[in-house]
Amino acid sequence: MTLTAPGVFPPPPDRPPGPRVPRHGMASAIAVVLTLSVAYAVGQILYWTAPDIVSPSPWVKIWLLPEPTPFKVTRVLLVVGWCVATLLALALLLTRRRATAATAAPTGDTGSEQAEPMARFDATARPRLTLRACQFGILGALVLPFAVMPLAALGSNLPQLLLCLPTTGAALFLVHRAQLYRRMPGWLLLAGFGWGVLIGGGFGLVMITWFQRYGAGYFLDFQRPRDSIREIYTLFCLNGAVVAEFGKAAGIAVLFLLFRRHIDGVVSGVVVGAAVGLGHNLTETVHYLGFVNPEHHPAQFWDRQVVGLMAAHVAFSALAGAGFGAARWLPERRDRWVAVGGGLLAAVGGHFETDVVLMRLDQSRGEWFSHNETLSLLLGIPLMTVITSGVFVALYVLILRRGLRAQAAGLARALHAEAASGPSGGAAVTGPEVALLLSPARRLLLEMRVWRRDGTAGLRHLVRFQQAQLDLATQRWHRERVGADSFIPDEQQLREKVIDLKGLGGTSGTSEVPARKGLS
Amino acid sequence: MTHEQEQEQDRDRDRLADEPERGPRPYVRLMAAIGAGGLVAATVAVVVSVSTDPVMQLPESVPTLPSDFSTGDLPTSLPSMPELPSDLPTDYTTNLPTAIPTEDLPTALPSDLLPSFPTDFPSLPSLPEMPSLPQAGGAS
Repeated sequence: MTLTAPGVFPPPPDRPPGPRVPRHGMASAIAVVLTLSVAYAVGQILYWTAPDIVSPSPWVKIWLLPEPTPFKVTRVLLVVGWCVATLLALALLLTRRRATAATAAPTGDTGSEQAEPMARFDATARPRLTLRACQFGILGALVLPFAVMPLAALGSNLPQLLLCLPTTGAALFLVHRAQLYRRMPGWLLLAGFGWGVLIGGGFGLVMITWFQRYGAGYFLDFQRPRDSIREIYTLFCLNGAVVAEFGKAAGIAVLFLLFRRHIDGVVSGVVVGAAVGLGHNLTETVHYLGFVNPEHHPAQFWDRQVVGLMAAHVAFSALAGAGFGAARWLPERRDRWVAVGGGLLAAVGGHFETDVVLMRLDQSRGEWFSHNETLSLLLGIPLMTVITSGVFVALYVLILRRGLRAQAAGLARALHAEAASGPSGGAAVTGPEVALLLSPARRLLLEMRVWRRDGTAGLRHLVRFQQAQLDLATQRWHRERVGADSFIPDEQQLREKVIDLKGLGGTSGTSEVPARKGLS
Repeated sequence: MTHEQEQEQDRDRDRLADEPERGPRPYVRLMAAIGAGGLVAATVAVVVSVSTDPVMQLPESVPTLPSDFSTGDLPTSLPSMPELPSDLPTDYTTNLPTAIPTEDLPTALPSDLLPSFPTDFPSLPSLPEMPSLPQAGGAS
């Protein structure tokens, strides 16, 4: 197939419908977001039951700060969200009961035998839509209130947000391109990023605010103030690590449960986790830039948006995502818990260690470089980042590399098999295309040439076409696995999609694909 | 070595590279090891945290409120009030007038209360006449 020859691409046909995959996991996704609400409620109860702090010491003031307005709004909206979710759950139960009754009941005299299945279809299609709307409504009602604090932080610090967007956007693009072979859809990556910005970041801010309001009441002991304050700061870091990583991992879990068809291994797990981490890092950076002294802004930006952009939050979430990705192919429940738990434990432990050690190292940074501010900034911060989260960066890069190697090997086998599988298979993937599909560098060059020649529309069509081919091979590879599940889409539908995009489908009526001479 | 043999070798290499995901429990041991690494990191954090001071300086002692405000044992009952005398003295005030005076009150101020003021001011001396001033900026 001459992909580079002039006129090789037929006019892009209408996008064929994607293969339908059963969407189990909605109940589990709702259960996951419910745990966020439960964690919030625990914070509220701990606050209500916390002993009052009575001391004239100025130390106490930091634990008695006035309640921020966005936090107050979040508290109100969360209760409203719980009420809405309860109503939607009742509506969902009623709709399900009616749908069950309608399916079970005879349709009556419809006039013809052919009309009966249609009537039954009509009777079930609308309730299904209602059910889906109720389920997503419950999800939204439970998580959207957490978005108030990040929205307030981002809205009140627009210059800082605009400053951080280019670096974060570039990192997100890099993360997307790290999927050297089959890529998850862009909207899914953006959904992960959005969760990190709004929900993960919001949950972290809310729970940290709770701890600020109840922590001292429980742990401050004026008989031994030095030890008790040290304990509080330790618990403060631990609480921050747990709630931040839990909030981010909840997003990975929800996306994994709802879109398992796309999150199908450690590569996609690392990628979606990194996207969530990038979102959380953006919110945190803008939030901190909003209240630190402006003379510290360059150091903060350098630390959080340049040196540490792909470390810290991204590294921890990527490890959590790797656990979810690995769990996809594990048939045993115990193994799934080990994989997910291992990733989460690494994320929480790494976050906790980074928070504690980074602050101590920062105290000595000036002395390392004889108080040369420039050297301290340019070398000290990278050195500190390597010491605190370097191991975790190395781990997620190692997992990513291992996953990509396994993907390349599996795809090679599947693509060769697809190319050799007869006339129909050979039309979807031809022999010469295999080498191109297995070489990310050659595909990138081809993309650039097509973009220069055909513009964005041609590039989009080429990427969509090659991704469809890689998806076909990837699902074929998955079908051979020991833990192959029911989420693997139908092979024939995927093949038809490739053939349609190639312009060989019956509907498009385009000519035969040109020969192999222009593949390079 | 024939072309087919080379291809077969390539496929064998592919299978080996693919092996971690071909087993019945791919990545389980790796993720368990990574989780153990996280546990080690958390232990390091706890050790560093409890053995060193946080960035903020810590007070050795914190002044507390007086013991009256502490949550110590409160008295079980209020102290009893001293008994008040049952008979109050009757001679608190003496020699107060018993009635308002009924004489006529004065209706006008005494005439010598205010001093007399002069009725006219002395005349001011006349000012000397000034010659006419030249026009500012010249005639142009």
